[in-house]
Amino acid sequence: MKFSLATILAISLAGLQFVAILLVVTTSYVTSETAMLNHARGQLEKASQNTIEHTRGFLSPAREAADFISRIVENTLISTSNTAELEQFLFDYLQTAPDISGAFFGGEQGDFVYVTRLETDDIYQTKVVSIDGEIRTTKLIQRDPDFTIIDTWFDPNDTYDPRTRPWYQSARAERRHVWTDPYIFFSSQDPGITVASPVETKTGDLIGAVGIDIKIQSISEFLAGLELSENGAALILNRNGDIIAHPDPSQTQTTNDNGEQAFVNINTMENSIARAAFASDRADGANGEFKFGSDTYISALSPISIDGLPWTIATYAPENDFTQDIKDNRRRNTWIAAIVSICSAIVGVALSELILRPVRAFAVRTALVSQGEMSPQAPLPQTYRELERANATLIDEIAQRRESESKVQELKHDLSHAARVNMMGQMATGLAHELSQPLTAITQNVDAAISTAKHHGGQNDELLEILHELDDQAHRGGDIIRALRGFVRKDEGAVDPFDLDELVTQTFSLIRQEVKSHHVATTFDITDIPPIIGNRVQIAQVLVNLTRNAIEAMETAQSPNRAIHINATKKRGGVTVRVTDTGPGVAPNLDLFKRFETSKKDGMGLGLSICRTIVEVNGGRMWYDPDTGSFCFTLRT
Amino acid sequence: MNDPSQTHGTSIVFLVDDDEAIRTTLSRALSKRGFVVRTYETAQGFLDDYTGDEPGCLVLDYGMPGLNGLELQTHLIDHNIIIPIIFISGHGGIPETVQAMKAGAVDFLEKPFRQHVLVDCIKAAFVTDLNTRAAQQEIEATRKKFASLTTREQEIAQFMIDNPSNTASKEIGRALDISPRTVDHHRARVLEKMGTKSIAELVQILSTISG
Repeated sequence: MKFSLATILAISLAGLQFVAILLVVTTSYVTSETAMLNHARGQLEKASQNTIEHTRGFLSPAREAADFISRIVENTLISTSNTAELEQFLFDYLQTAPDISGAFFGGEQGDFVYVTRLETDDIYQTKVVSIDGEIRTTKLIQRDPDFTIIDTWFDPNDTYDPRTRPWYQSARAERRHVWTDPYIFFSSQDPGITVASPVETKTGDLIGAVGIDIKIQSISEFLAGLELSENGAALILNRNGDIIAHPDPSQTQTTNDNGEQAFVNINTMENSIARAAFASDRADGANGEFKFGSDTYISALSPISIDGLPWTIATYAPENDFTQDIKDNRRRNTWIAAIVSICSAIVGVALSELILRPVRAFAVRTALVSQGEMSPQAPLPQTYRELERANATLIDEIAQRRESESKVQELKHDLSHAARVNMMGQMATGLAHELSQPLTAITQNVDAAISTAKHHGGQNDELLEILHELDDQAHRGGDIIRALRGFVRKDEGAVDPFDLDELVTQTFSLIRQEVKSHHVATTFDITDIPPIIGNRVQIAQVLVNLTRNAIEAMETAQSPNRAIHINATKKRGGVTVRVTDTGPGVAPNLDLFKRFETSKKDGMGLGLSICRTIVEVNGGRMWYDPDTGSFCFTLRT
Repeated sequence: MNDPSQTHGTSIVFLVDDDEAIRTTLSRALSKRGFVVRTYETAQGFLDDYTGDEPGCLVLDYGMPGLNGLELQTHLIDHNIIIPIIFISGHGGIPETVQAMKAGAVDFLEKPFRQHVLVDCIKAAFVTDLNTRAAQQEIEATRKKFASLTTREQEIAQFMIDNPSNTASKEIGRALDISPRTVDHHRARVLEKMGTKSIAELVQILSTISG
């Protein structure tokens, strides 16, 4: 199947463009995607670090406060037994640290002072549990920021004993500051954490413990403000999977079966990305990458490592948040590639049309010229130099071929005419000769008869008349023969100098088919021969006759190697032409050139006779050379 | 009665033709008309038989196998045998005619020909032949007379042929280194022996045998 130049050009241009653009788009996509993902991981890590720093910064005032208050108490600057002084101190401290929601002291005897900031109306509330022997009193005081008492009351039903609380027990056991697990503050129902610091005597006996409450809700607020990515999030998990900080604070708390507020546990969360990533039974996110729905997410887990807090910061973000733009870009670029390719194809078609138009005009012209509907000399359409050159060459070629073809055709026409004429001439000549003999004998006999009749005296006029009529009829026959001969003789053609080599070539191109079908090889040796003076058509007929004789002879004899060689040599005043074949030669007893004598089954015996007559009419001689088996004839130059 | 023997004496028609029918009929017809005819089948047969002494003419077929008419003509010319030739031909081609006539043929007739044409040709050829022979004989006689001259006489005769405008005795004597009187004497003998009456006549006769 062959495509037109236009199609090839269009497809190539479009295809090349498409492949090139696609290649650029794909490679840039792959590299930029990798870069973006690396960047995203960096973002997650940075977010974790930020969170850690923030959390440390957020928690450390509480720890410092616990330690500071513990130190103050240990150094007996404030007496634990003076609850009013202790309350005042804690109140003052609380006012200077806005993040701290409560500060308290619990003693070994179960006594307890607790100052806390209420969420509403900037009011502080103090709870004092005093143990005096077996008597226990729980007093509650509400104050405004100026330490003025707003309200005070007792709660006889209170059973709170600090020594039973985890923070107290941990501090007592560890003898250093300890963090509790986050919990929901009883009073405010907010999530928070307590740091406790033991208070000891100089001798190392435990007096009690100082505790500081700090709400961790603001960590969630911080996480909410963290610009991780559009759909990304960071959250903080406790060791048991409780979500203690989440960008959406409401996600951290739930109501448990007992109707109490509790932390949401990651393992029991419903249908959330965070659960898919970080639940202990999945832990897909630990690998740095996980699937949720149809989206791919990247994730990171990093321990918080603050004061031995068993917290983990979990961050995740969908890949698309980072790569969506370049994905969009890729899609856009693919479309651009397609559009550019289509444009290229259109341009290619237009371009090829532009390029092809002259070529097509040239092709049309060539077709018209070859069909003979246009002259090769007609002006060339606007086209390319290469085509003009090709055209010039073609025109020359066509002209030459036409000329040589027409020469060959002319020769063919002349030859067939000449062959007929020569055949008729030879037959007429032969017939004339053969008939003239008996006619002559008749006229002689008539003459003798007339003489005899006259001699014997008896004047028989009737007999004489008959004899004269007989004589006339015989001569009439003679006249007819003469007329026929004269008629044929008229056509002897013009005598012009001609090139023998060219004539031989043309002649053989006429009988090429015959020569080929009999598997005869032909060779010519005709060089340096001056122009021949003679009738070229007649000489061509001699060549045709001799060649046909040779072919027939070789065919009849079934010669294995069949070749005809024609050579011409100069001699004084002329040229000798020899036609030699590889056939068996000629029987010696045959008078080759006699009319009506032949060795062929269906021959008339005129061929060689005609040849010799032609050669002689053209001023040459013809003979058979038995030594070389060649027919030879001379021509004038 | 028109008898050729009365006008042409012993002149003979020599007929050469390879066709027996032609030989038979032609010789019979010509014989009936009073000609003496001798026939030959081939040109070679004629050459073997003919000495050249017998007057007459040759009626020759143009196209024969072996030695053909044209070749016989050439042969005769080469051997200085002078006899008028009438070609008869079944070809009658113009090139052959031209060639034959150039070589001195009297006539060229295409077969079949009118008998009176042939007879006229033969008669004309006879006259030509007899005239040629008579001239030949005269030359022969002159040559014989010239041969009978002495060497000195021949010298003087030769000088007069070579210098026909200087035939005075003095000139001849000076040229041959002899006296004018001696020249006169010899010259008178020459005129007498050659049977001529004047020097002009002598020069004319001698010019036929010279060259």
